[in-house]
Amino acid sequence: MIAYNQQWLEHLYIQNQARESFKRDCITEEERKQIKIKYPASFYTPNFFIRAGLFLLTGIVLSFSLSLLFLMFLGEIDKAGKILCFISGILNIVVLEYFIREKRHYRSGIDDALLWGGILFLFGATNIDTSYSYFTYTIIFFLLTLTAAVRYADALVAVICYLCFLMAIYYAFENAGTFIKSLLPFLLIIVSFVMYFWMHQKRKSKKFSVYFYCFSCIEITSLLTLYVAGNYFVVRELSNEMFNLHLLPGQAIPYGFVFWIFTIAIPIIYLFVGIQRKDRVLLRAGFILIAATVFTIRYYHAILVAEGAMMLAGSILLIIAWGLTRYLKTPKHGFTSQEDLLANEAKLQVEALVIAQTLSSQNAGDKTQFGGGSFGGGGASGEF
Amino acid sequence: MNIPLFTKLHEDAVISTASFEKIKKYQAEKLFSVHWEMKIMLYLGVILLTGGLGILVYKNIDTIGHQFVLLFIGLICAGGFFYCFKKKLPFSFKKVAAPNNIFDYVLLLSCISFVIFVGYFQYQYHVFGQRYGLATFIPMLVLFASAYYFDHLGVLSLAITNLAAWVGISVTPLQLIQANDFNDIVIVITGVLLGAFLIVLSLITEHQKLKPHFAFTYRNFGAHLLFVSLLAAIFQFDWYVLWFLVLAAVGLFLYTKAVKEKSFYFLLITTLYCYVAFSYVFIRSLLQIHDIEMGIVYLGLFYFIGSGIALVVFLMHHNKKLKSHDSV
Repeated sequence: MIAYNQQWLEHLYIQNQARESFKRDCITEEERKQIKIKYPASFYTPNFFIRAGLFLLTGIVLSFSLSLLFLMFLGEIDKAGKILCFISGILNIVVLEYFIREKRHYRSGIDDALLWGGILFLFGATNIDTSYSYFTYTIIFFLLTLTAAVRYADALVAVICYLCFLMAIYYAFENAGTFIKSLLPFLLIIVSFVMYFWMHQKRKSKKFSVYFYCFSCIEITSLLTLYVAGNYFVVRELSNEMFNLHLLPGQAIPYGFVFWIFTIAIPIIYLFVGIQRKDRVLLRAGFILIAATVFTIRYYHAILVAEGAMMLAGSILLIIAWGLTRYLKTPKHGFTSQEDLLANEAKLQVEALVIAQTLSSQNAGDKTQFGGGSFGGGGASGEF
Repeated sequence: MNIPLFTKLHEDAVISTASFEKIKKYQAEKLFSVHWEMKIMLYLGVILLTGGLGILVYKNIDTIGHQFVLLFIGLICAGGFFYCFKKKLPFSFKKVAAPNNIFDYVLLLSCISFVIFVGYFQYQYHVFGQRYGLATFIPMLVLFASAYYFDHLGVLSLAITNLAAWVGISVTPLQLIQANDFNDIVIVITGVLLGAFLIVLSLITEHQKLKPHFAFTYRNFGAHLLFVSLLAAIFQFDWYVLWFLVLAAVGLFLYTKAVKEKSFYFLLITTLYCYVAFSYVFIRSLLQIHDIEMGIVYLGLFYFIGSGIALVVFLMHHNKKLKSHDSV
């Protein structure tokens, strides 16, 4: 099923695990080398920036090659357009397969570009000269991305495939009766919920899978779609359109309070469960969605002027963060405000941690050695 | 870490029992770090608070008591700086770590509120009269001093932006293309000179070891500004071949630097800027041929296909060359 060498993917996973445990001083350099020899993976995966560049350049080469192809058949473009599109798509996939099999590319930027080129051209071929319903188009795109996700295990493709699935449900209900239509938000919530648990279980079961990144990305997305499906703003504006309600500003939808409860409760539940289970995905989703809830409430009920709300929210955030920093100065309940050492690669701090853990009687003296955040200002790093 | 995996590795005698015990111990005692969550909260807090303050000042600039607004902003600024002076670690031209998690954000808050403070002061009381240059020059000095004294990359970026504002353009990378009118030769030349100046500054920073970790920020701002200004010159002015040669020289210099320092990032941006410039010059010269009609279009298409493939090979080759030691 999978296009990439499955054994190498597994080896890559083992190597990554070994690297992490080496960085955390658990295994020796010798053991790490041993693992690398015993579990080889000779994929071609360049540095991130090179990957970005290769993606861009492959895109340029692709679009101009295909323009050339179209130009050659300029006279019969009306008749040949569809076929040309189809051929272009197939060509993309063939070249992609060649790069994966022969050149051993894996996440190199070239394979990413070819995959997207293939998907878009094949989808384009079904679009020319046809007038299907939105539902049919969504289903076609869903099937395309599903096939691509299964074969190439690309996380972004998988997420888009999942979103297509939800959209297909939405369009399927578009022309149904009023009662069934009004059940749509709940159906979407249930689908998201089921999807989340399914993916979560896949991620948690420590069994290796080539689709690991697809699972965790869909897991995050399903948390967001669960919220969006029940969000008051989304439900109100969409049902206004679907049922032709012609709501005036300030008017509420029937049973609106149910969705208000959803809108407010879900981020809090996410945060709460995230903290309780130490689940970063839930925690971060909760964070983001609290902001979404604040915006939703402010959209319908302007409690404060914008700048007042901004200053209030900013102050609250600062106070909470400051309080938490004080509270977690020494780790409590398994939480710490210190940076995850792996991300920083600071050897000194690893040592401090190891000392603190192994020589627990001298624990107290080591507090100051945890350097804390040394990378100043998201302002600088956020821009490029 | 994946314990079942390591159990298997242990059974296969790839890792020793001691290492396996360490892994199990680590996994059991692992702490859940909320470091980045808190950093984001602090950053958002600062952004919201200063943004709110800015709007407040902007909206009420004619109504509420100026003294009150000024006092409020001044208090935030002074309180923040007081905290920073009290908490900071001793100054050094090497990298100095922040004393705690919130230090960087308190500094950021004070610096931004200082800029708002001076701006408000100038608007309301015209302390600097018509000398608007001075009104941006003083915040710039304070920002640069804070960046160096407290060792803060974010404040350094603010300072560089302010420097550009002082010399006449705004240099936030995202707004670089949208906000500026690049038709004016004065602005283009200013951009080129400022970009070159920042790159020279990065070299001095590195060479003299004056906060060497600042060099990346200087060079990043400098390179983007210089390239975009030179591209603007190529697009706008008649002597485009001449400007292209300047750009090629800059590109060559940054390319050698990138290869020497094994920086994938600078290698990529240098390659792409040079590619855009060269393609423009190539297509423009192609359009000056009048005779062949369809042939030109085909030639252009073949140029992009060929050059694209050539650059793919170029990048892949350099990836191999630079890979032994990764950096940014």
